[in-house]
Amino acid sequence: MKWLRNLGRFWYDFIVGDDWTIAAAVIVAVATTKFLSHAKGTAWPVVPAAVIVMLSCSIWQAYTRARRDAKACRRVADQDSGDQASPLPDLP
Amino acid sequence: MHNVLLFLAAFLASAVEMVEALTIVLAVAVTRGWRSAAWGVGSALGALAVIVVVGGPAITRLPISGLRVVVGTVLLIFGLQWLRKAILRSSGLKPLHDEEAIYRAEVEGLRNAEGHDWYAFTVAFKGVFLEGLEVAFLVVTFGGSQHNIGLASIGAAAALLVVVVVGAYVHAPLSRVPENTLKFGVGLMLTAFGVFWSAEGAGARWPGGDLAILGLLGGLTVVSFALVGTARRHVLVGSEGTS
Repeated sequence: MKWLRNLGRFWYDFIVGDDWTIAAAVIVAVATTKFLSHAKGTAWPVVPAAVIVMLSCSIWQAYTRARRDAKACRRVADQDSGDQASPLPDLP
Repeated sequence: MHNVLLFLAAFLASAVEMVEALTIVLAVAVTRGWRSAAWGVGSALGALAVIVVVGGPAITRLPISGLRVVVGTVLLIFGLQWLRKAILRSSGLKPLHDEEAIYRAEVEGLRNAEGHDWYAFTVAFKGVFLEGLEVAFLVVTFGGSQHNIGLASIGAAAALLVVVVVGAYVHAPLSRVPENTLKFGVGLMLTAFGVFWSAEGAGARWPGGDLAILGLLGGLTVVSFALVGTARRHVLVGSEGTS
C-alpha cells in the first residue's frame, strides 16, 4: 500500500506540482469551453483568460507568502537580539 | 511551424534536464569512478527509451480530438508549472538553480557514503532517470499529439548529445547555461500548445486556425514578462520597506 501511495504522490508532484489551484482552474476552464462550444457560444477565450488569471494569482500568492515569512523571520530575529538591528538580510 | 516548435520544445527541455543530470553524474564519476556512473546513465537512458517506445505508439492510436483535450489539459498544467517556477526565479521570489552548489552537495554525500558501487550506480541512474522522465513525458505527449514522436525524440537526443559533448569537454558542472531562460522558453511553448489543444479538443474554433498558436505564444510572453517586472518591483519595494 505504501508504494502505491508513494507512486500517487510522485505523479501528483510531477504533473500538478506546488499549486493545485492552477490544475483545478485549468480543468474547470476546459469543461466550460466544452459546454460553451456545445451551446454554440464563443468558447476559445475561456482557457487563455483562465491561464492569465490563475498565473497572476499564483505569482501574487507566492509573493505574499514570501513577504509573510520574511516578516516572521524578522520578528523572531528582533526578539532574539533585543533592540539591536537584526543581522538577517531583508527578504521580500 | 508546429514541427519547428515541437523540435525546439523537446530540444530545450531535454537540454535543461540533461544539464541537471550531468551535475549528478559528474559528481558520481569524480568521487566513485566512471564505470558505475556509465552503467547508471546507460540503464536510465534505456529505461527512458522503453517508456517512449511503448508509450508513443499507444498514445497515437487514440482518437485525435479526445487525445488533444486530455493531452492538451495535462500539457497545460505541466507547462504552467514550468512557467510559474521560471517567473518566480526570474523575479527573485525563488532562488535560481545553482549547479555548483548541487555538485558540491552531491560530492560531499558520495564521499561520506559507504558501501558497494551499487550506490554510485543508483545515484547516477536516479539522476538521469528522474531528470529525463519529464523529457520522455514531453516526447510522448507533445510528439504523440502531433503524430511525430520521431521528431520529438530527435530533438531530445540532439540535446543529450550536445550536453554530453560539452560536459566531457568542460569536465565540470555547466553552471553558465542559462537554465531559467531555457525553462522559461519551454514553459511558454508547452503552455501555448496546451491552451490551443485543450480548447480545440473541447470543441472551440480558434480564430486564424493554427496561426493562433503564435498569437498565444506572443500573448503569454508579454503577460509573463509583465508578471516578472511587477513581482520584481514588489520584491524591491518590499525589501526597502522592511529595512
